[in-house]
This record gives sequence, structure tokens and C-alpha cells, in this order.
Amino acid sequence: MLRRLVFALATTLALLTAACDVEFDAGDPRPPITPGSSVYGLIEWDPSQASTLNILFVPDSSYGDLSVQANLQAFFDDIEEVIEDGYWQNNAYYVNLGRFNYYYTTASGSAAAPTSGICPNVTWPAEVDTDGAFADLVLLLHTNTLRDCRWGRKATSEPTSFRTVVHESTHALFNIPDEYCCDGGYYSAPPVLYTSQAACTGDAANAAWRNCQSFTANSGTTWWRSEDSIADIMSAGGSTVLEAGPADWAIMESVLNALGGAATPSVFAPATWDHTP
Amino acid sequence: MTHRGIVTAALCVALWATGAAAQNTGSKSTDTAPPARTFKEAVEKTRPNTGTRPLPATEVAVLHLILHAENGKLREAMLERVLVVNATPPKVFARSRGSWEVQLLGRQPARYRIQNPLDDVEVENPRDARSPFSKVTIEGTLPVDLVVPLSRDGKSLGVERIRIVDTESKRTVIDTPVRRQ
Repeated sequence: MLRRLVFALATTLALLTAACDVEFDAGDPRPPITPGSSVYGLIEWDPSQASTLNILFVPDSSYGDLSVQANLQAFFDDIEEVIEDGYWQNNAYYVNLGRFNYYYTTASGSAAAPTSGICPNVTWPAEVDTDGAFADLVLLLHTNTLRDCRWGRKATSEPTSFRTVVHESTHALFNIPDEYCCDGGYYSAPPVLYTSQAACTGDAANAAWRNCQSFTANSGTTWWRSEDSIADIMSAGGSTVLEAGPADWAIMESVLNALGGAATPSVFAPATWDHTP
Repeated sequence: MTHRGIVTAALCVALWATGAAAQNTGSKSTDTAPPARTFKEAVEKTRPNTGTRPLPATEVAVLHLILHAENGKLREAMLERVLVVNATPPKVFARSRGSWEVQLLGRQPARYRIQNPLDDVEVENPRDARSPFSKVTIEGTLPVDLVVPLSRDGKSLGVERIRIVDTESKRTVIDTPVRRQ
């Protein structure tokens, strides 16, 4: 009897889900999120934006005029790749996908090779600070090859630099420091980074995984990491997206809990998971 | 719209509402199955949410700063302009951490921490580099746009001034009234 009921419910749910079928394509875009805005919702679990971290994609001008359907579709396709092959390859992002709203703006920016320094020469559309003021992360996607940068909540990336996207997003969304040696952005952020061995070994919050190891930054400051030297999304390079370490997750969880709750990842670095749609 | 269409739409909205209500309970959902497997599925599930709606009643102040730095250290901060716009505030209180303190002064004072923007610029390194990324040491000017909430938990804080203090040097970086234009 129970089995029949479960089957009936599952079948009904499956039919309903199929009935909700809407293709995500540039031929049928949604209206802007507010009247006259240049920002449009892609995935909005919470349209009030109160219980989500909100990510805004900005097109590089090389995508062309986004009122042209083919150009908008190319931008959509790249965003899809960033979400599925970037964010969702990190289990902490995937199991909490209901805590992330995704948006795009039709106001283009541009990212070009630097004219001075090492960061790209970026022009941000003014709309990101008005229509997009709600965004916790503003990510400009460009297809030309560049050494990308992040400045606070704003970052640039090629749509296939998945690990860069997730690493920089994790800085902006969760305020987690770097963990690689020796020229990153370091600051006291227990249970990830500590300023002394005593602080690291004495923190009950890292007792479950504690293996405090130090590194000395180029500045001469010594930092203590509670996760020894495991490769995680904040510590290692390469092309594939790594997982959060248990210490990273402690901070991510506190941010997500402040928004209303968090689901615990099924894997932590150095283990990996593969999101296969 | 056919009868079946109306019923389907109503059920879709009900399904979405169930999910939205679950998010607002504040309870941990550690063993809840993810609500979508693919990007397209997530788009489809949330599509009823993504319409045009009124501007939020909450406001944020967007501070356009120009920071002058020497070898990564702040020499001078200039406030170019302050723009007050209606927007849902970014989640700055939830991720409060760092050496700069943003003080919201007014009817209901509040404060939160952010990274010193001069220490919060990172560049991607070439594949053969020793580290995957590097912090960028700022030399010269750095334009910075800070989005500062003027409300918390959906309620106005009655902010009259915004002050930003570097807690390491104890220096006030910016102190500005909040004016609506």
C-alpha cells in the first residue's frame, strides 16, 4: 500500500515537473527584474533575494548586441557552462544551489589586455552599481585570453576558467582568505587561517580535522593553516574545480546559515565529486 | 489557457511556493536532495519566479572611492560620489570579516567588517607559476565601488553617516553624510 502511494506520488511529481517544462533560450527571455532595469533573472530560487547570494553575469562587448538572439544565446550558453562545470562541480555550491540566484545584465563591459600593471583593463557598465547593486558578486565573462583579476565583489573570467571562477567567487561571496603560499591575500579567519600556532591548536572549532601547519608569506608574516596542506579550492591551481576543505566549509556554512540554512556537502577536499547532469 | 494549463500552472506555483517556504524556515536541510540536476532544470523550476516586480523598498549607498596607494599601503582616500539606490542589500553582515570597519551611524547604528580593498585584488597566474594566484600590490590609484546597506533584515537603519575605519591603523578612511538626490 505504502509502496503504491510512494510510486503514485513520484509519478505525479515527475509528470508535474515535466509539465513545467520551459526551455532556456534567447528566443524567449524573461522580462527585467524591475521596470526599466538592465538586469534579468536566470535562476531565482528566492526572488526577494533575501535568502540567497546573488551572482550577476556581465557580458564583454565581444558578445555583441544582446538584443540579437544569437548573441544572447551565446552568452547564455557560456553562463550555463560556468554554473554547471564551475559552481556545481564544487559540492558545497551544488548541495546548496537553492541559496544562489543567478542574473545577467544586457549592459556590456569590456576586458582587454592590461595597459599597465598585470590586471586586465576593464570597463564596467555603470548599471552594475545601480541595477546590479544587490549583487554579492559581479562576474564579467569574456572570451579573449587574459590573466584575470578580482577586485572585491567584481571579477573577470573566461567562461571556461572554472577553477578561477569558483576560487574568486568564494572570496567574494564568503570572505575566505587564500591558503596557497606565499603571495596571496591572508588575514586571520578561523578556522581557516590563524596568526599563531597556539591559536590554531587551541581552537575547538577545528578539532575534527586539525593538523596545524605554518607557511611564511613573502611579507615575512607566518600563518597557520588548520587543514595542513590539502589541496582545496582556496589553495591549489589547475583546471578542475576542487572542493572546499572542512575549514572553508565552516565559514561558508556560517554565511549560508545567516541566510536561513545550509546543507552539508557530501565530500570535502581532498576528496572530489563529479557533477554529472 | 486550457483547464489543464491552468491546473498545471497552479501546481507549478504550488511546487515553487513549497520550496520557497522551506528556505525561509531557517532549518538545516542536511539530507535534502538537491532540487535540480541541470542548469536547464533549475531554470525551468525557478522560471515562474523571474518576472518583473516593484523596486525593493530597501536602499543601499554606493560609494565611489579612489584610493591612492604606495607599495600597497593607503596614502589617501577620496570619495568621488555617493549614490543611494533602491536594492536588496548584499550580504555584508553575513560575511563580516577584515580590517576595515564600515560604521552605519544614525537612528540604529550598525557595523560590519570588510577587507581593505587594497589587500583584496587578486590575479590569476600562468600555469607554470609557483602559486595559482597572487595578491596584486597596488601602486598608484585604485577605483573602488562599495555597496553599503542602509537597512538590515528588511528594515531601514535610518543611516545618516557612513564612516569607514581602518582598524589596524585606527585611521578614518572615509566619513560622509548620506544624502538622497
